[in-house]
Amino acid sequence: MGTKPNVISRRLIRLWRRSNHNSEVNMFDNIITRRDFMRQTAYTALGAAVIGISFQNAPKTRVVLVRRENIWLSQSQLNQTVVQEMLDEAVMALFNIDDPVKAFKMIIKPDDIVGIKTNQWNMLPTPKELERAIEQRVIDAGIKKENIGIADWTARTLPVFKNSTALINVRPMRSHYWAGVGGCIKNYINFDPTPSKYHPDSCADLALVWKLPIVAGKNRLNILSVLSPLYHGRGPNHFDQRYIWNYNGIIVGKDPVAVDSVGLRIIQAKRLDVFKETRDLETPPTHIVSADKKHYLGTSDPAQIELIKLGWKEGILI
Amino acid sequence: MQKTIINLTLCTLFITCSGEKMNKLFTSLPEHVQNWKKTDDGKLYNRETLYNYIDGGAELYLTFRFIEVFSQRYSNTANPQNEIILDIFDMGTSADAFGIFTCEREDEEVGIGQDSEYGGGLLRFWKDNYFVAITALCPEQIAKSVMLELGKKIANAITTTGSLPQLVDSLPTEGLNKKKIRYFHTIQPLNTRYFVASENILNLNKNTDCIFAQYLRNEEKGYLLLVNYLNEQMAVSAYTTFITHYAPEAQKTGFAQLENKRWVGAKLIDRRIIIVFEAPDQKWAQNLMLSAGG
Repeated sequence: MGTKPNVISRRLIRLWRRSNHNSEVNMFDNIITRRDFMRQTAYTALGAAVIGISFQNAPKTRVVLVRRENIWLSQSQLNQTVVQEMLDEAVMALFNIDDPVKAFKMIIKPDDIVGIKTNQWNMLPTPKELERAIEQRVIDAGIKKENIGIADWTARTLPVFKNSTALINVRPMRSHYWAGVGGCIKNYINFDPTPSKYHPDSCADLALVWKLPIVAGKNRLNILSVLSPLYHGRGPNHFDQRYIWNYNGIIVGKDPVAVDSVGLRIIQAKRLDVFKETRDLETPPTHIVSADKKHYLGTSDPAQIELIKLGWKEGILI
Repeated sequence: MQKTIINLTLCTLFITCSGEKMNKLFTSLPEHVQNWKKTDDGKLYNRETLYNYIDGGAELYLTFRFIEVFSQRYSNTANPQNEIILDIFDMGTSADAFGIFTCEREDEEVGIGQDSEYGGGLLRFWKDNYFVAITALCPEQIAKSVMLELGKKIANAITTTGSLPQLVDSLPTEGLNKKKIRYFHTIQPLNTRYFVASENILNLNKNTDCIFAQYLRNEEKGYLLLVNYLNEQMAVSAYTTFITHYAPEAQKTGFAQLENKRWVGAKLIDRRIIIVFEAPDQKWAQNLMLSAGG
């Protein structure tokens, strides 16, 4: 039985019914129309409306956004030292501790086998500097190098991931044709040999990936790179150089849904800033709210997220 | 039974011919263009394997009559890390090649194929059954010239042209924003341009032909959707579902004012549904509908 809402809306009732009584209702009983979003007074963009459901009296989920102004050595190369500092700052704030190694020791033990699930989409991969920064702190926390793996597509087949006892999730934030956005929730999709089975209904049930045996209960940390996110994509590769920008940030949290929710707000704010009008994402990112309300993976409601913002403030957008 | 066999035979013949044309096209690709050269032999993906090539976006192509795509990389001979990707999609029909082209249109025409656009390191055009995209994997100013030249060579190699979907002829011309015409078959491409509902309340499927266009009349914007169903019975069913779930207030008159103060209007004519969204007032919606034959 799911969490019942304190603030009731027609749409929320539908979502609740959908998650609890799906087999008993006609498909058209679950319809959410454009008009439902119009009825939400806070409607600014479809995703924001989807996310904007308030639950009262629930503990807040902490997410840390760290930005630095000068991190780029060239168009594609980051300053490794600064990236390391950003990660350190983020985990210290996340765990309210004064040492980044101690912070990592709170989530992994020396005898853990750690899989760092990255993203190697060739248009916008996870920066190597960020992967190295994570790996460094995992080593500092006492994990043997041979017990650490960093992989994307091949992760599912690699012994270090198959035998892993802890996972760290890292990838860039980007708009995505079929899921609305690609963030931390989506990053584990390659752990399933048939990723396309999550595609129906705009990838609404992506959170199911987190229930696979290779993933379940292992995730320790989520790091969403918003160093140079993509806020609008086009063409077969859903990529357009005009629509990436140097936001110079990373979002870190234990809750993948909350991390993605913050990332989505940045993407939507950027679209509004550039397009000068509310422009829906190609697909509504329903998988984020679904991960919360249907699959109970985490918290999507911005009102229930404690967002700690550190560092450079110019152009922060949220 | 006999009809089914004939249909299957025609279908096989069509795919074979189409495959031969595609094969001829990609084997004739130039080895070099300016100081760029092929980096590999290219790869072919069909409806079953497209997921292996396009992350997420494959779904869009599969909503059309897509048959296969040939993907070929070229790299700069002086700086091999500078690459471009050429994708030639056989969309099955010229209407669907036009359709996939319209789905993401937003840039300036560059005079390649039957219609084209270039912007942000992405060249897109269509000709006959083919939709072609060339994407720069390096700063666009380095690759723009070679992308345009390669695009022209491919357009010239496609010696035939194709027809536009018949529904295009039904669009009223007054106030039509030609860059905002979208042609498709299913609910997903409609929802990506204009979210209507989470469920398929218009009963769209691979056999429905849909056109969605933006209009600017009297300085007010609105949208026109035309849907052709296979038969009148399907159209009636879809019309009923749409009105019931989207605008029950429009059951008597066909028009309703919505929460955002804009108007929606819907009309059923034989096997076609005409819908006007976001009209500033009822008269505006009625006039647009009337000029679309409603």
